[in-house]
Amino acid sequence: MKRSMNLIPQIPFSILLALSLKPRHGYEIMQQVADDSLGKIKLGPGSLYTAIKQLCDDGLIEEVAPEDSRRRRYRLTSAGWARLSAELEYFDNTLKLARKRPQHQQLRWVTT
Amino acid sequence: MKDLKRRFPLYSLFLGLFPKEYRIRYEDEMLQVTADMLDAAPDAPARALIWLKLFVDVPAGIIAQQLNVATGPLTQQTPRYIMLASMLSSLLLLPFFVILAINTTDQLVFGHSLYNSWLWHMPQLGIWVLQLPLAALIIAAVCYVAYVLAGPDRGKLHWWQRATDVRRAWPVILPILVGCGVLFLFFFHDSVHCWTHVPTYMFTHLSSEVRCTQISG
Repeated sequence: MKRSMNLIPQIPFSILLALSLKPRHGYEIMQQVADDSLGKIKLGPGSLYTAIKQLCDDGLIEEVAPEDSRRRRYRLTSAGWARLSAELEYFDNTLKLARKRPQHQQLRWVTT
Repeated sequence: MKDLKRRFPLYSLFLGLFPKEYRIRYEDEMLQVTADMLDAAPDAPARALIWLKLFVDVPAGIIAQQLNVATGPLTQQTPRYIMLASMLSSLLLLPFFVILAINTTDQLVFGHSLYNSWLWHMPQLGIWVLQLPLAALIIAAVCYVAYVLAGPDRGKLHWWQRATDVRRAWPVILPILVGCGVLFLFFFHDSVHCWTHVPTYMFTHLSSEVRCTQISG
């Protein structure tokens, strides 16, 4: 899948990344997002479910057969996998490009 | 869920501000996530900090979802033919407003009154104030009637419910109103006798007729 012009916004991207490991319910997603971002992204229920609703509407994630209405678990759809892969590939290519440039030594974040 | 609502009565009321559909779908989960967050907090200051964050985070979600509900049907649920008819009607109505702007500029710069302006005389007048708005009105009205009689949710809603469904049909209702307004202006403006030459009108609007005759002369 080719990456579209717009990047997925940070929070939906983080949720897709969190769900790439296994299906999770809301609180698990929040924890995984916080871990993945080294504590920089701390979601609240409002922003979490706004993003989840949007991702569901876009067909990027779906609900796993519900067992408990309080702890619904979500997983990536095939479209979600494709979108996440495209985003990660784009980031990977961007990093490779940055490393090839002569000034890359000055960009400490690239080499660490 | 009732136990969580009892645990967070104020917060539950707060969640009631989300749109109904969203609330039905996510309220239980949001309460549970909130309970999980608070249960995981090690002490009272940490819990206080969580509540503080919630009362910033949740209103932002409420605003986002309410906006989504308010604007979503305007673009997402409106049938495509209504959007197309709306665009076409708007294009046909556009010359009226463009000419009106030109006319105003003409009046400001050269001091031409509405009657003196060449834009206010037939046959030009007929194009931008009669034919194009009439075409826009017909297109929008036909589309609106088609939506009311054979809308996509025919089985679910009565025709009168679709007729009053402004949130979906506004793209054609608006051109209908504007078109009617322009035609009303056209037929009831006191310059109408300048081109209709209806004897009774000329007789009842003598002063206007004199002015019109002076201009023509």
